[in-house]
Amino acid sequence: MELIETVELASSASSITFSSIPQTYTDLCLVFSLRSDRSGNGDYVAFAFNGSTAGFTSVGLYNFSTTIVTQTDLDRYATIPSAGSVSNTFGNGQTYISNYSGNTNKSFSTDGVFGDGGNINASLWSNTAAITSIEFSPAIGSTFNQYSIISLYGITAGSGGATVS
Amino acid sequence: MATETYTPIATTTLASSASSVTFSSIDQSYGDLVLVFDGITDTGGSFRFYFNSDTGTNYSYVRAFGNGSTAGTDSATESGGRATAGTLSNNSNVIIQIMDYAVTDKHKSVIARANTTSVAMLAVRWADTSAITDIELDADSSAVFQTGTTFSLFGIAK
Repeated sequence: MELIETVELASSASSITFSSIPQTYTDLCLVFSLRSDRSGNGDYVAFAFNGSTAGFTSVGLYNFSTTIVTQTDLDRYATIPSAGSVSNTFGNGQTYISNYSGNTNKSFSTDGVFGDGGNINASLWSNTAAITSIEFSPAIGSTFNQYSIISLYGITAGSGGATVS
Repeated sequence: MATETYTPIATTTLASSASSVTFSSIDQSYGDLVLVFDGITDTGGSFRFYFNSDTGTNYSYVRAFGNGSTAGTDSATESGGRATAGTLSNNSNVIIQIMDYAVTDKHKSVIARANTTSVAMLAVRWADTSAITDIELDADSSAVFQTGTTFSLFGIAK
């Protein structure tokens, strides 16, 4: 796993984008620590691939304190704290995108945790284009807070070595 | 210099459909293993994993899952490791992490994350202290993995 780029916000921003992603890896992993300005307690992370927010679906399993809920969304992939959450908390998690440069629909998984809950999400981008850019933004709030940070890693698979029958 | 992690060990992308994929003679020098599955079967049926060809009833799991309308948990002990809930769909992505696979003094723990028609997280225990040298993935029942399905095995440095 190789670090491609890290972005840490010096001031609040409406989104964080990784552009011109190298197509030389097999999979991508994004590790994030985020908080939004939404006035209530909690927000979600939204993605755009290649500048598009179309074609996404996500099934999530969320634990809010003692309640577990499942829901299907078009634009929500992880829970993060917001202005109404416990002070100084950020939502930490990771997104794993397999076969991001291939010509099939893109399946990706996200795990997240913050002080008031956690989530796992199974998500699909129904688009066969190679992913060349990834944008994170708050699903409800307007901006991510200062000190929000995301690192993008590339993962290279091996070759051969398995027996197929 | 930081120690490299997610070291590629082996990858197979199916050139034709197959019912089984096996990683054999796995290097014993890592701390953990991560197996990434990206693909689908012809029926949407899932798959099981087997360590060292053990098909005994030695694989226990606890699982939390949700399909967008129903959330639940369950557990069972079965003759094969389970890594998913629901059925496989558009290039399902399943990540299986195997901890301390090379040691011989403990049962082996597995955490699996499944991206299928349901989202699921599973904790699996293989009731065997043997070092894991082989991992076989078999499609359920009469299903086969479809062409293009990819299986990648990584080593995590200890």
